[in-house]
Order: sequence, then structure tokens, then C-alpha cells
Amino acid sequence: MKKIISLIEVAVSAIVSIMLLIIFSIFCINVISRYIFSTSFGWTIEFSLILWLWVIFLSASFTLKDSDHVSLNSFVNIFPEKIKAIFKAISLLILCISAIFMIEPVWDYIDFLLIRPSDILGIPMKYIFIVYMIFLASLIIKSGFSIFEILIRLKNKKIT
Amino acid sequence: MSTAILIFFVLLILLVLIGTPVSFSIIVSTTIYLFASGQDPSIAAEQLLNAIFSNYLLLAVPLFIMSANIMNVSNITDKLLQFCLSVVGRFRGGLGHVNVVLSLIFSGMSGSAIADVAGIGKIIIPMMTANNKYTRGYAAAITAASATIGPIIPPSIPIVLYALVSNASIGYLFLAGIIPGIFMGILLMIANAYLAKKKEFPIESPVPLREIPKRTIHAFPSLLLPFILLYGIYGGVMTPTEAAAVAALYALLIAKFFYRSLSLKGFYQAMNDSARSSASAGLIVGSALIMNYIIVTENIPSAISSLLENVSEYPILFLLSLNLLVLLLGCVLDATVIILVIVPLFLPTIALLGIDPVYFGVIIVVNCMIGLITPPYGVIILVIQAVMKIPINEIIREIWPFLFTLILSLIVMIIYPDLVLWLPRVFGYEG
Repeated sequence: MKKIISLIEVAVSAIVSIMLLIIFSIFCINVISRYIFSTSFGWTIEFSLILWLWVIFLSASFTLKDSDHVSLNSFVNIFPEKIKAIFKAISLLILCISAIFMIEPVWDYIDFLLIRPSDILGIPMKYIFIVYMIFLASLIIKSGFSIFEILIRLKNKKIT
Repeated sequence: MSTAILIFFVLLILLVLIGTPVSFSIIVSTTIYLFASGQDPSIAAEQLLNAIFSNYLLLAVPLFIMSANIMNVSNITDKLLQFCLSVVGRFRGGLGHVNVVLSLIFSGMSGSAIADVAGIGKIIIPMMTANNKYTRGYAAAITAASATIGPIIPPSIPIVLYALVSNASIGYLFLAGIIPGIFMGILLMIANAYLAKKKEFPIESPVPLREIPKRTIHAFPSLLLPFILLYGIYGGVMTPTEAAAVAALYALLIAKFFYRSLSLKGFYQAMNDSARSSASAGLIVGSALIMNYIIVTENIPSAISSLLENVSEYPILFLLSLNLLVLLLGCVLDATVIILVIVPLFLPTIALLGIDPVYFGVIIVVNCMIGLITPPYGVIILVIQAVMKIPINEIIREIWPFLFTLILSLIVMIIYPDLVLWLPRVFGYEG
């Protein structure tokens, strides 16, 4: 199980790195082509925005570690390890429950967007925004898994 | 204000306090708020997705992060260091001066203070602490303090974010940051000179004068980058977002072909790090924008504006107290959240009082950057602690004189708006 997870992480971080590289290349080509050939491509902006959205939510789903996120630790750090673990479990539980609660309304919204094409490329917005569903699903699985882990460690008195 | 909004704020504060990532805290509290006020909970997702998808300007964020990371993995930073060392290293406290000047130059290339401190800190802190020349607390403190200049001098991610919420011209905002940034650098160097004399820091053996031309030539391609960017933006060749891509391309080209110091592995590492940090930045920016949606729906800015109506006789008093508030908030909140969420609350009042939005933007960004080094939640201090393994209390002990110096420079900027607005006016800004 651990092996599969780390394999997914490596694969996704390669994918998002390539996506970022594509965004970068598109911008460079655009500047150069406008300066030299005085033409520019309108679709490139929308395409970069799609990639950027996917970079954010794919990373948030698979590769971002706790330390990558902006969070406030100075308050939690004044407590002993056991209380910290309990805080963490509560926070994960709230995340997990609200993500479960969000699935249905968010899916309704995204599914509805099938009829709305994007402005330039004409891709149905559903397929652009669907990455948010991946994000919600991973949030539920990851936080559920971590709560379980913390509870076992608390039970085995590994955290004092 | 409704009960729903009260629930929103209480839940948000609780979640953040128990260590939930700020972006997730906002998403969850917004969903609960929407539910409590009888709206569709999917609005949170709708706002978040559309905020990211429709803001072309935000694409500057990953690109600036990328260019800073490329400079950090190739040894461009090192070449600049050698150059600074030969110019200002010869005075007492020389490495302290080098630190400030290096930040000034580097900040003309990267858009983020965190990237500045992670890149520069890794090189200069070990140099300063070698043979116990400087205490590690002092080395860390001056690195942190000078990194705050980064986002004042263009290019700058916080200024991009301010432009996003205020609709002020990003070009003029960039220009307005140049003189305040240099001014802060000079004040920090004065503080360093004074402390170096008091603490009797050693004098480095000066780099022979005949070495200087060689080192300058070596550093020249990197020194050129800020000028290319400024010319590109003000010459109308490219948008600020494109400038971010050009900066990354330029860094890539000189690292590969001039310095020959960029391996494929290093490049992949840089892309990987950039994807992670820009995703975390994008997430927090997006969630801050959903919070804005709530604040606007609840009509909070106009409530504040009418509450503050009678201060209109004393704009300067208002500005000073607002800055005090931001300074205090900066101790506990992230700069991105302050710029995207707190600042829009006061923008209507700013317009009402006739305070210039470009001037206000620069002041607020300077203020937020000072927040990055104030204990207990100074992100820059935390980064140095994480990267260099220097105990946080040693850094905090040495940071006070620099913190005081930076606050002093902020006060001077508030009192003399011309310091900020002179350069944009030269380029035709009518404010």
C-alpha cells in the first residue's frame, strides 16, 4: 500500500512538473512569436489557465506535504505531543466530514457545466473543473487514513 | 452581520488555531457558512475554481517562483555573491553589507521573499558563521531582514496580488516599489554598520581591486536581468505575467550556456519544487478569493467605511492606525491572506479619503513583508530555521534592531508619499 502511494506521488509530481514546463514554454513562444512574427495565439492563455488549475489541484491531491501548506503552528506547538495529535485528528476529521458533505453539491455543479463550453477552446467546463472532484476524493481518503493512523498510535501509547 | 458570518469567523479561527492549513480552513468554513445562510454549498467550489481559472494575472505566480528556483539550483546566486563581496565586502561587517546588497540585486529577479531567503541564505549564512566571525543568530537575522526587500522591488508576487484586488496599475505599482526598496536596503546597511562596530565584527581581507573587473564581467549577465524585465514591461514589449516567463527563460539560458551550471537533474528538481510551492500559493490565493466573496456578499467593506466616516478629516491618522493593525495582523497571518482578504475591506475607505491606491499598495506590501519577520509567525524566520537548522530563539534575539529599522523606514514612507510616488510620476502616473 505504502509503495503504491509513493509511486503515485512520484508519477504525479512528474506530471505537474511537465505541466508547469508547458505553461512556461507557451508563454515564451507567445512573447517570441509576437515580437518576431507579430502574431499571437489566443488559445494559449486559456490552455495555460487549464494547466495551472490542474497543477494546483493535482498537487494538492497527491504531492503537497503538511509542511508545504501555509498554516499556523505557533499555537499548537505550545502543547504536549498527545494534545497536538488530538488537535490534528480533530482537524482531519472536520476536513474529512466536510469533504464528504461537499461531494454531492459540487458534483451537481460540475456535472451541470457539461453544457457550458470554455470561451476559446470550447472544451466543456465539466472536464476542466473535474480535477476538483479528484481533490475532494483524495482529501477524504488521505484524511481518513491519517485519522486512523493517529488513533492507532494514540492507542498503542506511541505518542506521549 | 448575520449569524452565519459569525459562525464562519469562529470556525475559521478555530480551524487555523489547531493547525489546519489556512486554505483548507477557508474552504471548509465557507461551505459551512453557505449552508448556514441557506445558499448552495457548491458556491465555494464555484468561486474557487473560477477565481483561479479567470485570473490571467495569477499565472505570474508560478512563473516567478520557477525563475527564482532555477536561479537557486544553478549557481547564479553564487556569481552575484562574488561580485557583491568584491564591492562592499571590504568594510567592517562586510558580509552583512554583502547580504543586503545581494538581496537588493536578487530581488530584482525573483518575486518572492521566501525564494530569496532560501536561495541566498543557504550560501551566505555558512559564509558568515565560518570561523565564528558572526554569531549564527545575527547571520540569520540580517538575511531575514534583507529578504523583506525582495517583494518591494519588482518583480513581486505580493504586488501582483494587490493589483488583483485593487485594480491599481501593476506597471506603476512595480515602479513605485523601486525607491522604497533601495531606501530600506540603505537603512539596513546603516544598522549593520552600527552593529558591526558595536559588536566588533571582523573586517574581511579585501578583494584586490584588479579582481573587480573580472568578477563584474562574470556577474554581468545576471545583473542585466532586472533591466531586461523593466524594459520589457515599460517598453510595452510584454505584460508583467509574460515578464515572469521571460525572467525564467533568461535564468535558464544563462545558467545553461553562460555559467554551464545547470544539470538536467537540477532542472527537474527546480521544476518539482516550483510546482509544489506554486500549488500551495495558488491554493491559498484561490481560497482567499472565496473569502472575499463572502465579505462582499455580507457588505462588510461599506460597513467599515461608514464606521470610519468621521476619520476622514485625518487621513494620515487613519493610515497610521491601519498600518498598526496590519503590523499586528502580520504577526499571526500570512501576507497573502492580509493582502487578499484584509486589504479589500479598507479599499472603499481609502478611495473615500483620497489616498492614492499605488502609494497605499506599496505601503501595505512593505508592512506585510515586515510581518514576515515578526515573531511568532514570521514565515521567513521559520524558513531559515527549517533550512539552516538555527534555533528560532537565537534568530529572534538578534532580529529586533533590524525590525525596528524596517518599521522606521515604513513610517518615513507613510509620512513622505513622494518617496513612493516620485518615480511613477516621472513615467507619467497621474496620482
